[in-house]
Amino acid sequence: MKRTSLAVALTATLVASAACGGSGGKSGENTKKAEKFSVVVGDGAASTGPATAPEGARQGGTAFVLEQSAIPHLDPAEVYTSTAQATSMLFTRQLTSYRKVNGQWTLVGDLATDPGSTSDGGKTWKFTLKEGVKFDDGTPVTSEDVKYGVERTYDSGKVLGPKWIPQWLSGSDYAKAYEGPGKGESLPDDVVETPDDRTVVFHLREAHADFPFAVAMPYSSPVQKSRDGKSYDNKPSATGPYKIEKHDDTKLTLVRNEQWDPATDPIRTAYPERYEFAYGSEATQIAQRLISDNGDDKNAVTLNTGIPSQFAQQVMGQADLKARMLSALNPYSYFYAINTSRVTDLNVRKALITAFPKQQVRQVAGGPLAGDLATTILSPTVQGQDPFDLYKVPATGDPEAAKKLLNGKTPTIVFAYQQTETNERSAVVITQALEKADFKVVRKPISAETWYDQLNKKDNGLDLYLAGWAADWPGGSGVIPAIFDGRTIADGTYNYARLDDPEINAEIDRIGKMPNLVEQNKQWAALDKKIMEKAAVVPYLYERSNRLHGSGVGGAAIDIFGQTSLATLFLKS
Amino acid sequence: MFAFLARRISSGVLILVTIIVVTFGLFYALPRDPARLFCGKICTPEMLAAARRNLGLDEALLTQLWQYLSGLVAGRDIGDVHCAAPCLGYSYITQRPVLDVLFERFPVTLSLAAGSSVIFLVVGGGAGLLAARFRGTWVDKGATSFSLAGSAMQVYFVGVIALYLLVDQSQLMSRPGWTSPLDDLAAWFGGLLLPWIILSIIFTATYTRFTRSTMVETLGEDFVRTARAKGMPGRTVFFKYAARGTAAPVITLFGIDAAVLLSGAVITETVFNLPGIGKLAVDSVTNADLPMLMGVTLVAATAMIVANIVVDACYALIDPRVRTS
Amino acid sequence: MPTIRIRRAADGADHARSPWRSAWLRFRRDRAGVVSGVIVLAFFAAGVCAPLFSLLYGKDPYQTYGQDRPELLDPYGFPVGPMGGASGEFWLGLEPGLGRDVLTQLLYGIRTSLLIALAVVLIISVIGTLIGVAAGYFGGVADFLAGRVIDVLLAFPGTLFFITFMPVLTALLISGDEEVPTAVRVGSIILVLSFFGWTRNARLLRAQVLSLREREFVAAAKVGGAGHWRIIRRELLPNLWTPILVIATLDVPAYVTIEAALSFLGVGIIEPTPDLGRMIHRGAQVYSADIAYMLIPSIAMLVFVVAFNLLGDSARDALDPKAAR
Repeated sequence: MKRTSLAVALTATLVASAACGGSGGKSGENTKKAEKFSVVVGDGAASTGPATAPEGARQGGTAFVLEQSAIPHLDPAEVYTSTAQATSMLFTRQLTSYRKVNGQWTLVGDLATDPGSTSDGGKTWKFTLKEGVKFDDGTPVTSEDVKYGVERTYDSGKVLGPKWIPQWLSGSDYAKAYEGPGKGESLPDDVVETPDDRTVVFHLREAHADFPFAVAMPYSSPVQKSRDGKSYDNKPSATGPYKIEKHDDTKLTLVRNEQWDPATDPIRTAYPERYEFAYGSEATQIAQRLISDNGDDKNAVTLNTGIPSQFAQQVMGQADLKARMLSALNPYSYFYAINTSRVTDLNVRKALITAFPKQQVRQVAGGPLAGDLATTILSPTVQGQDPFDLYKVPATGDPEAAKKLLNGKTPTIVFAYQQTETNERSAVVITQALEKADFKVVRKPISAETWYDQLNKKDNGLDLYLAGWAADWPGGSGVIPAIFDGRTIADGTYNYARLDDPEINAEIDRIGKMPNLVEQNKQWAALDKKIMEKAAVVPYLYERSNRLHGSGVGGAAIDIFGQTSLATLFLKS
Repeated sequence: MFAFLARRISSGVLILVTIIVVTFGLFYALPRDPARLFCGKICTPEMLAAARRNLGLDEALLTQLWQYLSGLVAGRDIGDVHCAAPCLGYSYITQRPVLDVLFERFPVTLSLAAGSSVIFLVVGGGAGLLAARFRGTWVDKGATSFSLAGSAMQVYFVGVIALYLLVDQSQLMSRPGWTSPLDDLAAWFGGLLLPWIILSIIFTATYTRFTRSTMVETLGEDFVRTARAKGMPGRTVFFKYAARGTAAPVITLFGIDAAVLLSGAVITETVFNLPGIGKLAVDSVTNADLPMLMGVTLVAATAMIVANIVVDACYALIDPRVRTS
Repeated sequence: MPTIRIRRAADGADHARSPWRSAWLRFRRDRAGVVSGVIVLAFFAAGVCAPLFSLLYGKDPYQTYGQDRPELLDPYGFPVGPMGGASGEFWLGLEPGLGRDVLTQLLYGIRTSLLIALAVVLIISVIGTLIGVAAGYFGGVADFLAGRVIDVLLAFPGTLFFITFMPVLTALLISGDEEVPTAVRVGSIILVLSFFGWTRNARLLRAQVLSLREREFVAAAKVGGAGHWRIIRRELLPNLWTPILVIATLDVPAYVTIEAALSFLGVGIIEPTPDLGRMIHRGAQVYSADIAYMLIPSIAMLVFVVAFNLLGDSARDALDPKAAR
């Protein structure tokens, strides 16, 4: 399978160009309920180190990580992709992060003593830094360093990182309010305040109940002003258990950071002495090496490489291999968006949903290991998701029922797809299925490089295309407003279905302001159903992450973004 | 001789400049915008413009070309960093100096080229000599049949099938990969053995055939016949006179092949996942990484031109007529 | 490389017969040549008759049988049963994933590959001959210009250039977001390969013409007042047919493999057009679960290239008995 192009990897709206894998169950697997994956907000106790030791844990050894492509940036302000986050958690600590407490994903304080507190319903957020946290040069981490790190996210040169913090602090035109610390100016105290060395206070423009989630990414980590500069991207200072020895596009080696104190860290156990990341292998080679399990590969994991479909049968058929496979749904939910500004007839849209051959498309992408067939927009990983099935059509599509909905009409559908190998093959299947239901299909292959530019034009001239979304944290607020708010429709935005419905827009405003997160997420799920009633998308797949590891590896798990988590990994010998 | 060299080198430089200009032009005809890679999830037109400015893509094409060429000769300042001559710029993707990356990748390509050259020169040359020596016997027929079949053994399928049979299924050979010989000599050898063999098959076929035919031709030349007529033993004639006469054309052929191999065996490096110049080339095309692509092209073209000059210079030393032609 | 000799008016025993006829008689005596000739003809027949065969066999290379009938593929998309799901119904099995028929894909693939290779060889033979003859016969400025262009093209790293040039060319030929018609894609592959391919033909023919130019019969024609065009057509060309054909026999299998290499690297023929190289490309992805899909196109290509090389050898011997060794 070809490596996903960087452009695709960077825009977090990944489309299943490299959906890999095959899977567990035989047929009948569709009826199985997807596992629940919600996240709760923890307290100070859950945020206290040291982290829980997995059974049989052991100190020492060198762990190997096999990856297809290097992460281009280590600068915490430019780390965004799931893989980059799973890597940088070894050397970068941030204000908050996720850990499993008794099998339940929990948001806890990482550098902070708890996941933040608010006194005014979500406009002002206060974080207190733990004592005894130091940079790798021995300097204690102060609130000034956190503030400086936040200031750097305003920098127009650092475009790749998430921008929630500056947007919520200074509005979407944040770059006009403040240019970043390059010219020596600092953010005023009424935006970010540091009353003492261990306290940071954020003054948001509007209330955001999910701010503790928004800081659970490396861009909230402290940066020392004295060490910032051009080379910082390649060798940022470390607050986590490891520091960078060497980094380029073929490898990354991490050695122990002696200044890290496990007593302060509720997430990482950091058993191996050393990590060696090797970049530049093809997915098939990584899978083959992990299956063969020879020599150093016994102590190897992969963060991002799934199981190519050619190995699916073998892995699922052999108990020892299956035991070395981690599998969980990840936040990606894929759908074929119907452009509602062009396909205005509700029955035609319903007929598309009815005729669509989900199961065949998934088989071309590698079968059940690729993920679970979807009936909703929100993925089961989103807190509060409701697994309803509104249309109850067979997963193979029902051309006869679709014909009935079309009532003798033969509408023309402009179907666009990315010119990647998997998508070209699924296009063959989709075209055939829609034609069976009497649609006229006009195929539009679009090159991978220009895919997003063409798709995100306001009037893209297309009717049906694959899109996907993963929220930056597991709540509906990161999904529905981003892709279904009709007022955002413009060139370059992400309302794939071009749905502009006053009722839905009003709901988005209402739910977004709710102060209680749990209640809010229930309402997002209800809105999911309303959008499905409008038949704006054909839900396709909740993506699954399948990761093999060597036989010498223990304590590995799938993290909240679907990557192999290295937090509590250890080597058996 | 100096005049000859000067002439060839200056024309080589001209060819290089032509190639730089053509590659530059071609790259700009590519239907993609490298700046888009540097624009985040939400990419506003202003952010795109900033990215273009950072990459120096906002300048006119000719200005960029001029900056590149002068950077090569005199070095240049990119942003706030000085890039010393010969400056090949920085990778769009990794921001690393292109020259560093080339130096890092070159040992892989060099190892691959050197190892397989040893195999095909020894095996191919040897088989060709033997076939000529025992012309018409089973040795000759065997070598000829081998070279016929071998010339059809394309790396892209023989390599994959060999991986399947020799590595995945039977584990007779270690999995191909790159380890620096300075780190672990045995791992270096083990990781390259299969690529060496597979890459050398086609070349071995060519060299068997070529050595054999050149040898047969030389054996028919007057000086060899004279030696034989004078009663010199067959073996002496064969090795002392004829084999030497064959060496020159074989070395010429090798000069060109060496240049081809040094500019990166794209398919071999892709099939066996070796991080050499060829793999770098494919990746930089995929990633629209112009500076890297220019660097690779320059290395490859330079290798080609130098090899040609060396070969011609050797000829000129032997045959003075070439110098004036 | 065979040395190419010049056919003279009087040619020993074959004096009485036309040269083509005597070549044919010599060829018929060569058993290996005849056998390989039959194999090569079978390949051409397979390519030409693919649609007819598909009609009789009742399958076509585009239909996704495995998708329409779930019992044919396992949940991961791989054909059920040994040897890639070969059966009385699907003689060579099914393609993993989409479940298309392998036999018809193979035949149509041969059709595509041969079509491209033959077109390229035709084009480079014409262009190479024109430029080679012009450079050799007229010399001076024509020779100088041709020489420099050839130098630049030869210094360009071939494979690298193909992978860079293909996307550019398809982008130039097709505006924006239209589906690239198969004919355009095939056309651009032919163009790119031809663009680089003619240099070798031109160089070899130039050398031939250089030596012919000084011959008595050309001098005689000049003295007799013949114009350039007449000399080229009546005196030079008849003596060039043999080298042109000989180069072409070497080129056809070479371009079949190069075209496949392009598709293997992902810049050649794409879905859904059947093509040998694309089958190998897909085979290299799925080989560990379905080696049959890798082996079938690989063996087909191997057999074709070996047979064509053998045929080429025999044809050379027949056309040019003096060069036979």
